[in-house]
Amino acid sequence: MSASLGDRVQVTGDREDRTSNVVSASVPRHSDANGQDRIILENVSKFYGEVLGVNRVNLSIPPGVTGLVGPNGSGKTTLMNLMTGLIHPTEGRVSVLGISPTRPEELFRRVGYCAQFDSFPKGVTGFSFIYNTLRLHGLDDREAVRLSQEAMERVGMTEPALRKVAGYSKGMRQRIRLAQAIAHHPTVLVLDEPLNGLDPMARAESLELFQALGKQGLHVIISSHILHEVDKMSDQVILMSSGYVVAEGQIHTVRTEVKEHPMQILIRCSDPNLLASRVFAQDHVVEAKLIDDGKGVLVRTRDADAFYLLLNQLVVKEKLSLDTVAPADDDVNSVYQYLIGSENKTI
Amino acid sequence: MAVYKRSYKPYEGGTTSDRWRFLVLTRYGFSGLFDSRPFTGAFVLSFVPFLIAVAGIYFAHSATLRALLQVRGPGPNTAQINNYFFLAFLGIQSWLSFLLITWQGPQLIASDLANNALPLILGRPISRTEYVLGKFLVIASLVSAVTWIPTLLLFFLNGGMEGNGWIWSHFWMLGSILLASWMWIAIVGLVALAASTWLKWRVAASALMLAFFFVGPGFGAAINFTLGTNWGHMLDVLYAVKLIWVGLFRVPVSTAQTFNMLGIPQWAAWCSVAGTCGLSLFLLNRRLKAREVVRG
Repeated sequence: MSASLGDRVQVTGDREDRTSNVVSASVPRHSDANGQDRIILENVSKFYGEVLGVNRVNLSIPPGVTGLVGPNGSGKTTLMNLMTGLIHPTEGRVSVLGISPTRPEELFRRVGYCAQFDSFPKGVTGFSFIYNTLRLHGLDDREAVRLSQEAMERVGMTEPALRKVAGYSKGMRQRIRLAQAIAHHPTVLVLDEPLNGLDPMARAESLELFQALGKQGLHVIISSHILHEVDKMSDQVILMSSGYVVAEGQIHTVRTEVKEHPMQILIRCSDPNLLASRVFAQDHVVEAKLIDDGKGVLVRTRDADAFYLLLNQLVVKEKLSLDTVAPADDDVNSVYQYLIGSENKTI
Repeated sequence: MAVYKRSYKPYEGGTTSDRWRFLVLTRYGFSGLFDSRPFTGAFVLSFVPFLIAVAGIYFAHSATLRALLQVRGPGPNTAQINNYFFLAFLGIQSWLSFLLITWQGPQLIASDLANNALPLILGRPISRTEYVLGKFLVIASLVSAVTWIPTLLLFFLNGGMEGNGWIWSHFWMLGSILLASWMWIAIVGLVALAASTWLKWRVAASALMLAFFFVGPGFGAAINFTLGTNWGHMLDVLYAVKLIWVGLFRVPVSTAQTFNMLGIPQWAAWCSVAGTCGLSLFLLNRRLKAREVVRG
């Protein structure tokens, strides 16, 4: 599935050819023969009449936090709806932990979904909202009360639980929706823009919650426009544009696949001038720029591994003292700019 | 992630039966239904004909009361408790139930659509069919409470007062009452739900429902008049219902002719009813999607 991004970026018109040019940096496709621990989409397309939802999507999502990133209308929500069986693919096959989304009874016992719509039934309280959804999951009264209270506590909404949702702030409503998604202890959590409207404190708490759930082995699929937060919380990302998956996998690996844009590495050291002159002699280094304070060099290289090897050699040979070596564009934001930013310009 | 590192435990406790899960939706539907005091008032008022009918049955069988009121024997001044009586009572109750459902029925799905609650509800272990069934049962329960349940009570009350095997000799009427009522429930329920999926605004959905029942007869009459036929009645589902009920309650042909109730054959009336239900189901299937298409 891996392919050179150079091919992909050059494709501007012929959509038919694009699916073979997805940057894929995921771990091996099927860690389990039956896909029991993965969310698998095989050649999935969804069209709403003539409108493209997603096209020829192939994904195999392992446990952990997966960030779903893309501009408006790129197909993120469609992809989430496909995973949760709320819509069915025009073509292809979807399997969530080995369960087909056409079997809602089985699927939704294991999936928690938080749609992007900020809407609630009329007159409902926070507690009754979660309680009612748990009853729909088939829990009896006692268990539904217990799990409702647990979920409210988990999102910090115990105190206003019995107030009407209509009187909640946007952040509180967002947290209640999150609570209903996690209340029944799902194995897969699909969250469409779950951080919208949250204040910084609530965002930090939510991110912490997602990461904790991901570390415990839960599949957490999150779509978001806040790239640095996606970067912070995601174990892997899926980048989408115009209905196509343009990249998937761990962000560092995806970045290394983006060979058209040389990798930027910031080095702070005892002799930046010397370092700049030495590294610039290398073919793979396309730029070595002294930064404004004169205490570091920003290097752009086509081969990060070769550069790190060279840096080791220089440190030993020239007796350089290094303060910092940090990738400057090894994050979702940069990858997004390189892949989707350029995509939008070319289409 | 290595399996041994996975510490997350999904919910493994017991759950209620899948078969009756949709009743949760029915219960929610009811909880919102009687929030409106005028509606609750109208619902209570819809039992007034029942009380009058109970009084009528008692009056027809109570010689003492008739003597007190100086009415002599069963005659023109006393109610005849027969198939006409039950047909008339069911007809009145059906109209009242129709008004109640036109009032509150369309909000059952329209409010979910207006609130974008469908993804929320269908993102549970519940299918679209169960969702519709859950909502339909709200209407069915409401209409049942107003139509066949009081009619059956009257039937048994009259049977008890008549004695001498009246119930057994009129046992066929039990089937007629149930079949006629459930046919009505199916039509009103499905049309109300279909209307509510097409218009998110409750008032507009109610208007659409009324239009369906009253514009159809207009077209039908126009067809009958223009083409000189009776087949236009096929578009008038209320006419079809009346015609079927006349058959179910064994109203003699001469009486039916008097009320112009033989315009189309029985099978055509059943086709009209089946067509209405089928069309409603088709519309429900078309519109009831748990997603929103963003165009452009």
